[in-house]
Amino acid sequence: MPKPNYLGEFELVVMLTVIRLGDGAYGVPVSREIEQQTGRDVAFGTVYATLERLQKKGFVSSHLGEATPERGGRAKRYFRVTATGLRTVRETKQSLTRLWQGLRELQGGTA
Amino acid sequence: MRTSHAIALSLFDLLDLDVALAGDLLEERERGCSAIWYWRQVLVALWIGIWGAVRDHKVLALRAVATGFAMEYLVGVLWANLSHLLPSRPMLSMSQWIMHLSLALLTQTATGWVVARTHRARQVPMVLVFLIFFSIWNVWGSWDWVRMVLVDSIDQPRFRPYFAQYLITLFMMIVGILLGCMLARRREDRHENISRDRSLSF
Repeated sequence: MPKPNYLGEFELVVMLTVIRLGDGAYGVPVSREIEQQTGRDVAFGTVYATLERLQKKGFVSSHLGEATPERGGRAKRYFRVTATGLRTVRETKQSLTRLWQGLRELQGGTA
Repeated sequence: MRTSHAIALSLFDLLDLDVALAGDLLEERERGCSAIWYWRQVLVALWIGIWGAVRDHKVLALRAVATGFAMEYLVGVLWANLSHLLPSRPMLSMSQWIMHLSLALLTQTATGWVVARTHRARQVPMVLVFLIFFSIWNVWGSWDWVRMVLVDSIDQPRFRPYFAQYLITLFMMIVGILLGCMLARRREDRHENISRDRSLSF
């Protein structure tokens, strides 16, 4: 039986953000999008550490892009979700949906 | 801003953090984020870098702490055998104190160097882990004395030099360990440059 891949809560947030941003997913927009969508104040270091972990798991890949003067000549690192990453996000969604179903406490949107 | 960014970059470099992260932070700073925001982000990134290295290399971190304390033990033995040659507490003259400080700096530099050289794969995080344990151990070991002098220093100025001596000695020991790490790192860099030059010349 293959070992299932798990995504932590923040890992899932980062994965969804990278998917949402498409080709323009590097540190700055990823952090901004997370802040905008979740209202959380996120540290860039945390986002990078999560992306690095996801890359080690094979869920995202990265490549270096252009270096601009306002970045002090440092290149941007662009991230993209891999096929394994996409499959894992789907599996996580299915697991969460199964857990959600039939919970009376969470129905009606008042809790 | 360039200076602060250069400091942040060299810190990132020390911990082998992604340079793209440094670029992202500078990009945001250029867009108007405050210096406080910038340094908070840098500190969080450094903390995550150190903690991540320790979490991923727990055995290496334990070994670094053990190596450092083995060195401290050796220094302690040496100190115990030679201490009769040196003046002792409670209050030293300025020249005696400078001699004590120089010895502390020298021995701690040696300790930092040994820890860094024996943990080449993750030199800086491992030395920092040892440094944290060493500082806690040092303060813990002399806590009763430190607390007494600290409390007495509040209303009796004559006790303040004792407390200042303790703090400065601790500070110099920390500087010594970091200096040892830097020296080991410089040596590594020089070796890397020489090997690279040799490989290019062939």
